[in-house]
Amino acid sequence: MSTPVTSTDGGSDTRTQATPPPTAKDPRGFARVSVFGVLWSLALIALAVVAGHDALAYGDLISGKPWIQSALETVDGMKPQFSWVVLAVVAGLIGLILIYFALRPRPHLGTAVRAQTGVFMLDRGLRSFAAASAEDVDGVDTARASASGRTVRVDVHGPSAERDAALEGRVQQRLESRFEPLEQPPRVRVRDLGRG
Amino acid sequence: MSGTSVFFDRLVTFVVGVALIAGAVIVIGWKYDLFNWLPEALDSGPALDVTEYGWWPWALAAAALILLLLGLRWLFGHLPSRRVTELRLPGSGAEGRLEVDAGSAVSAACASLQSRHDIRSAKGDVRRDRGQLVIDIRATLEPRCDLAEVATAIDETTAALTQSLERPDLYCRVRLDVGSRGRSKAARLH
Repeated sequence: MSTPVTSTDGGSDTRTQATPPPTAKDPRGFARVSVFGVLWSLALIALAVVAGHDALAYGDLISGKPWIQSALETVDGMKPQFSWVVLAVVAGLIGLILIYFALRPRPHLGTAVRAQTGVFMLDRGLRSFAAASAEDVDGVDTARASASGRTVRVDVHGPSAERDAALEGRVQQRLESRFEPLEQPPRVRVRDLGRG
Repeated sequence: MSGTSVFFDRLVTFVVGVALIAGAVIVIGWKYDLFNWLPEALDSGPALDVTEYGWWPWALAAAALILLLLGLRWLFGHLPSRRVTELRLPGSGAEGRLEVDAGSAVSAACASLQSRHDIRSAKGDVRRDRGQLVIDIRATLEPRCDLAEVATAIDETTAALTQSLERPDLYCRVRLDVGSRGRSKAARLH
């Protein structure tokens, strides 16, 4: 993790220059599919309890009839009923929801900043950063920022009653300059809402 | 939570979803005679015959044990990523182990970052995340900071940290937030 440094006089230097650690995987939000994962793992444990109960029941170690046998005897000879159709429709919808969550990627939480190691600006930080940067522009009283996808929208309140295109341009320029250290700077949309 | 755990969550959730939809289609088709290969009524006789075999209780006992172990392993796989408290240093061997308190080392690096004028606060730890040993730092910046300068400072600080730890397998992730404008706004002139 360190590289040798050669001194300017041509001699060998025993010092080493440290290099930053490699970038870790980018910050991701909570994988909502894991909620279902917990349910499936609990379902496996429940199945283990059923199987364990029946194994003990067959061995006469506990009293009562085996649950699996009882269930099989209950459903034997059943014919489809209309209530099953209603349940099937509900089950089908639940199935679609499960597939949606299974395929849904974990959300990215931030944007990479140009650095040798892994530095990420969180989305909420980017909003505050944009609003503060906009407020630094001459003529801006207050600013509010929102971010969606790869776009940052900033609404500013300036001194004029009407929309001031020149002010919007100055804010836009300021924000683009402030976002330069980001590896993929977001698109900036500025709107002057007039006197606040 | 490991990447493998999330992968299995996705896989099983997808399979259960497809199975529910398939089951729903079969039930509706059964009710309205859309599939002529389905029986008129459920016949669990063959399954009941299986329960009469001598090996059935043993199979149930084995299944109970395997399902319990799998279920518990899967359940514990959902625990949050583990914080690493101590890191083994090079030179450890049969004669003794050299370990460093990972939390203290990262805290010292965070204190160094926090001493800067443009970083309001910083804290962090070392944790295992998605198969990597990660220095995980959360820092809150002043709203009017220069991002490039902050990135350079982080590079230098984390480089010094990994050099002192002598662990080339460490990765780094610094998450930046930006503090409220309340504290620094007083300096503005209108």
